[in-house]
Amino acid sequence: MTPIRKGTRTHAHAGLGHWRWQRASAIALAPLVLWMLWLSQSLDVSEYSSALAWVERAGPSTALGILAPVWYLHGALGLQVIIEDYVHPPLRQVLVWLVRGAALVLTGATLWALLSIT
Amino acid sequence: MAQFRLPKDSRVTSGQRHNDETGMQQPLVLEIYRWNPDDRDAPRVDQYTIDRATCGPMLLDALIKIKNEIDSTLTFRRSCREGICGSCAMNINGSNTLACTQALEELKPPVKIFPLPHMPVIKDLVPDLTHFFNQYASVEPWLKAPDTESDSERLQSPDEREALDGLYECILCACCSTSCPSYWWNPDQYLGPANLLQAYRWIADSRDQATRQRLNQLNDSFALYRCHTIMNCTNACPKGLNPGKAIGTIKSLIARGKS
Repeated sequence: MTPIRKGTRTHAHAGLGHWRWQRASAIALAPLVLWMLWLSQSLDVSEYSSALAWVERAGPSTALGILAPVWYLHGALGLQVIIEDYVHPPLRQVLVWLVRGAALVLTGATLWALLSIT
Repeated sequence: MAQFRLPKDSRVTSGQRHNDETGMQQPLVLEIYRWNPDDRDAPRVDQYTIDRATCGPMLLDALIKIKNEIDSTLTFRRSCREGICGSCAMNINGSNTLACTQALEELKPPVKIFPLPHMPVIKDLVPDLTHFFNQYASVEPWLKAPDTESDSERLQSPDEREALDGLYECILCACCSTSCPSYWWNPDQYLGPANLLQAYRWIADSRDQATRQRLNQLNDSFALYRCHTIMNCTNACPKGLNPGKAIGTIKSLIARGKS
C-alpha cells in the first residue's frame, strides 16, 4: 500500500492484537460479572467486618482475583480506543500509556489487597 | 484534541432570500449552503423557492433549475444524472446521498442542502475530495497478479464472480466515508468505509494474488481498526451497498490469519 503521505502511519500499530484482546476480554467479562453478581447476593456491606469476611471466602476471593485483571484490561483497551479517536499526537500516546499504567497499578493493588485479606 | 466546533470564520450564518413563491403552483423552499473562497465572508444559508410544477422530479433537477433561472452563481458538481458517476453527492435534509437519485417528493420542506460533512469546501456544494482519492490510490485498486504466459483472459467461475457483487458497484461518491464519525475524527489515517470496501473488492477477487500483502497492510490500528461498526456508512450508501460488512470481513480474514 502506498503511504498516503510520508509519515502518515508513524503513530499506528498493528490493530489485530488490540481488537482480539478487546473481544476476548468482553466475552470473559460476561460470565465473570454474572458470577460476581450471583456471589454478591450474600454480601453484607453494612459492616466493614462482614464485607471483609465475604471477601475472605473462597468463592468471592477467586472471582475477584480473576475479574479484576480482566476488568482493568478491558477498561484500558476501551479507553485507548476513545483516546485514539479523539486525542491527537503527541498527547495521544502519553494518555494511552497513563491509562495502561493506571490499569496495571489498579490490578496490582486489587490482587495485593486480596492476598492480604485471604 | 479533536475539534468539536467549526472555526469562527467557518460557522454558518443566515443568508439571503432570493425569490418568493408568487405565481407558483407547487412552491418548494430550498435552503442551500453557500460559500465563496473569493469572499472573506463566513458561509451562509441562502433560501430559494422553486415551482415543482415546472421542475423535474429529482433534487438535481431543482438545483439545475435554480442555477438556470434564479442564481447562476450556485456551484455544485453533477454529470451523469443517473446515480453512476457519484459527482452530485451532498448532504440533503441531514443525510448524505446523490442529488440525482433523490426524489423531491420524498423530502420534507424546507429542503436543507449542505456539502458532504467534514470535508474542506472548494465552493458552495463542492467538497475537496483530493485526500479521499489519494487514500483510494493507497489501497492500490488494480489487479495484482503475474503476467500470464499467453494473452488469454483470467477466468473466474460464476461463484467467484458473484463474490464481487455488492463491491464492484461502488461509485466512490464518498457519501459513506463522510457520514462516518471515525472518518470525521481521523481522516488523515483512517481509510474510511468507501476505501476499505474498495480494498476488499480486490481482496475478494479470485484473480488477484496479493491478498496476503493487502491484508498485512490493512492490519493497522488506524487504517482499518478505527471502524467501530457505527454503520452510518451502510445507512448512507445511495447504491445500497454494505461497507460495514466488507470491513467486518477484512477484520475476520486478518483474525483468521489470512494475512
